[in-house]
Amino acid sequence: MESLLFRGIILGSIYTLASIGLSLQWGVLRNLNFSHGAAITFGAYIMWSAFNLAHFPYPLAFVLMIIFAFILGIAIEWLTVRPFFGKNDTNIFIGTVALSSILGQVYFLIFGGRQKFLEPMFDGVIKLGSLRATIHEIFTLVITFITLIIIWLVLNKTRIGLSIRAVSQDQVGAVLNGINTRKVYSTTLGVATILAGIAGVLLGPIYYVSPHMGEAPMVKAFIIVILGGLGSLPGTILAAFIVAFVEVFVGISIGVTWAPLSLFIIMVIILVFKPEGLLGVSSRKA
Amino acid sequence: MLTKSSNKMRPVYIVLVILLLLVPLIIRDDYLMHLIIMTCVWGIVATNWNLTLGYGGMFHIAQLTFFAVGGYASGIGAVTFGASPWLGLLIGGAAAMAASLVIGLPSLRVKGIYLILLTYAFHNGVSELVNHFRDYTGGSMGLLVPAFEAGSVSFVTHPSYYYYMVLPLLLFSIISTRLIEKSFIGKALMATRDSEVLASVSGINPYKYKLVTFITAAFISGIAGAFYASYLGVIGPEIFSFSLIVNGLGMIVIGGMGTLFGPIAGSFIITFFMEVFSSLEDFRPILVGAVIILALLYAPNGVVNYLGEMLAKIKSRKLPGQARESGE
Amino acid sequence: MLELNNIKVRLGEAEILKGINLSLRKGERIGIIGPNGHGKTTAMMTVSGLHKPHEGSIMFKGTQVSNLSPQKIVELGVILVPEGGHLFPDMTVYENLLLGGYPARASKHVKENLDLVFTLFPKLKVLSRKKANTLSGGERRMLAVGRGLMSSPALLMLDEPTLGLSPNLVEEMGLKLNEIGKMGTSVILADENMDLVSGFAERVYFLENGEIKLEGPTHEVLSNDYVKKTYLGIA
Repeated sequence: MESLLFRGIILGSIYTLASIGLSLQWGVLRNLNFSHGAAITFGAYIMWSAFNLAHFPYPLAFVLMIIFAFILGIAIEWLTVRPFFGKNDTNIFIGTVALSSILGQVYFLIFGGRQKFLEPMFDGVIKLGSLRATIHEIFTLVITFITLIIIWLVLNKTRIGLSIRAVSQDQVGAVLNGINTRKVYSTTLGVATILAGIAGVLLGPIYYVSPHMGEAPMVKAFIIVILGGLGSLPGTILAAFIVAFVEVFVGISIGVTWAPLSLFIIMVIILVFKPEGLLGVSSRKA
Repeated sequence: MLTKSSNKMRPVYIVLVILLLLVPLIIRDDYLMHLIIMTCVWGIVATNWNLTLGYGGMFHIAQLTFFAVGGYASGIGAVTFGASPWLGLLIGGAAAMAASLVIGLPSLRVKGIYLILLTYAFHNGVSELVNHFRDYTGGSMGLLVPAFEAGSVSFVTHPSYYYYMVLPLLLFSIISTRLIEKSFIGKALMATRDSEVLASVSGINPYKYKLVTFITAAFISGIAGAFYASYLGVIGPEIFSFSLIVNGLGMIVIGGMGTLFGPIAGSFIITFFMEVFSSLEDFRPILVGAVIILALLYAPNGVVNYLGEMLAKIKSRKLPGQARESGE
Repeated sequence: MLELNNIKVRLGEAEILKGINLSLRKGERIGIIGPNGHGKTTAMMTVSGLHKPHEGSIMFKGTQVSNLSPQKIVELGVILVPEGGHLFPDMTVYENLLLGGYPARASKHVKENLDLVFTLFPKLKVLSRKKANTLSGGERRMLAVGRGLMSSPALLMLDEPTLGLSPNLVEEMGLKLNEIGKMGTSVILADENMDLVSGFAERVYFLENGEIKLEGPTHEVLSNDYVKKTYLGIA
């Protein structure tokens, strides 16, 4: 039982990181990005390359991943969001879908279809009473916690963070206060992509790294941001853990193939009956 | 531009249909025929998708779900119950229709990103179901679906037979799109697409019309799915893959969203594009993705319209300032 | 300081502004009156760069601003307090004010400006930890004006700052606006409330159907028969 709870918490942490960027992006752009999954994969591959090809030490590889992910996020915004923003939401969707397909294939060409194993920063297992946990799992918890604190600090204590919140609460008000909304859009996508990348890095040692590894977590991230209420960060975190626990407990008690089905059913029920989500404020703004 | 038509165009259409009927007599190459048949199959999916998406303003990805449901239904019918592929066409269409009710009833109440995500969830949900009931669906291996036969003649060796099966379906798709567009349903849908508020003020209940269109499009796509499964002889979980969504969207975007013949042009372009660049193999999805993004950026009314505009521009170079925007 | 020359603005199909001429000296207080939906808000938003004129020019302190981004215009000191305030609902009063001090021109003066705003609106200081969406209508207007002042405006434009307020709150706002006017900031005030405008503005523009129908010293315009009939009669 403890081990199930623990697994749920670990999975919930990773899902939090995988989905919180989408939630931020929704807040600012009122749009979701279908290349988010490719961004998760991106993080894992950059980490793998820096670690296994360039033989950088883990912390340096991590920093490198963050820089590259930020650049990728800005590129995504520039290519598939900026040209259509405010004019054609459909094109943003199609554009990010197309970009996701391009990225997936680029990974395939560079790294091949074979799964790669991303080594964790810390190997080994520790025992906490009856609980057996890998150090990577503890590491995952710590990283998630630190990342969330940093995000909170950035959003509440920095100039750019304040402007991100301002844009997500009132676009016109933000513009009239001299905020460069374009900068906010690209920064937000940069930050969202970094968060996705971190999720990928943490997923790597648990699953394997492959060209489309990010797609399944992306689907779950979509479920999570809807469940939590689009744009609500506390809601997103809550929903990430709900989804993780459902997945773990349904998987154990009924069967592994039922887990995605039950998540899907939850999503349909939420979308049909409460599209604003658990903690969502603004309803059907789409 | 492409949607513009009148009675004057009728002879052109008749000639066009006759030409299409003559295609197998002109083209003797089996492989080329195969590409043309695939163009038709995807043309059906894209045309029906465009009916709901381009005209109806319902942004969803369920069209491929219907296609897959049609394929699997006919496959399961054949493998588990021994139904003939001919009956399979009907089973496929009916199953897709049933699926469109299950998906459409809740989904069409929401719009925008919620509709996209809900239909995406259903798409994945159906894929999970296929994975779950592997006894019937063959799991990751898929199902081997028998080919069409008439009497003792198997269609396998006669691509033109397949062509004569799929062409009417394609023509039917175009005609039904045209009919719906011209009917009050189409008018109501386009009014809703352009301004939901205005439409609801004038007493239009878009939900009903959306559902009718959705189901019609699903039925035809389901038949196309059944045809596809039997034609290729196999239906597997790849049918749910992300790249098919990308290709399908690409056909509509490249051909021109909300135009009658655009999606077919798009299907033709993408199908043949994949072939022409077959030596590039794994680079093709990248190229397709890039073409989609470029089309979105530079030819938002579709490549066909774009080329038309370019031509008009070249023709009227002496008259600057004209032909700058398409009428769509 | 501000010069609008034959400004024409189209929104969608309709031409909302049909050639506006308006000028403002440094330190001057002017009012814009006219029926609702006849272009007051559009005129101010155009000065702020939210709408682009298809004809005409806007000069501010000798710079052509009609092609600049809203952000650049804010940096020049042209600050609009929009209709309805456009506050950040999920942020505290204090954070809203901080964002008023976001432009580079004001970010060095956040402390002084904050003092100024809290002296002018002591209530905001008391409320500073409350979220904007919990404030009353009057408090929101104060916060909106206060946020505008945080940007160190050279020109402050106020769009309907008293819309929906009770008469005594309108009077209070009038006193505050006069204090702001005394600080030497140029102000453009668009408001439905004639008492407020007449007690504040030195000159008034009467805007109807996207055109300036009348302009001149406040008492002259407000006592004009046509204005009285078409506008004050209703108000």
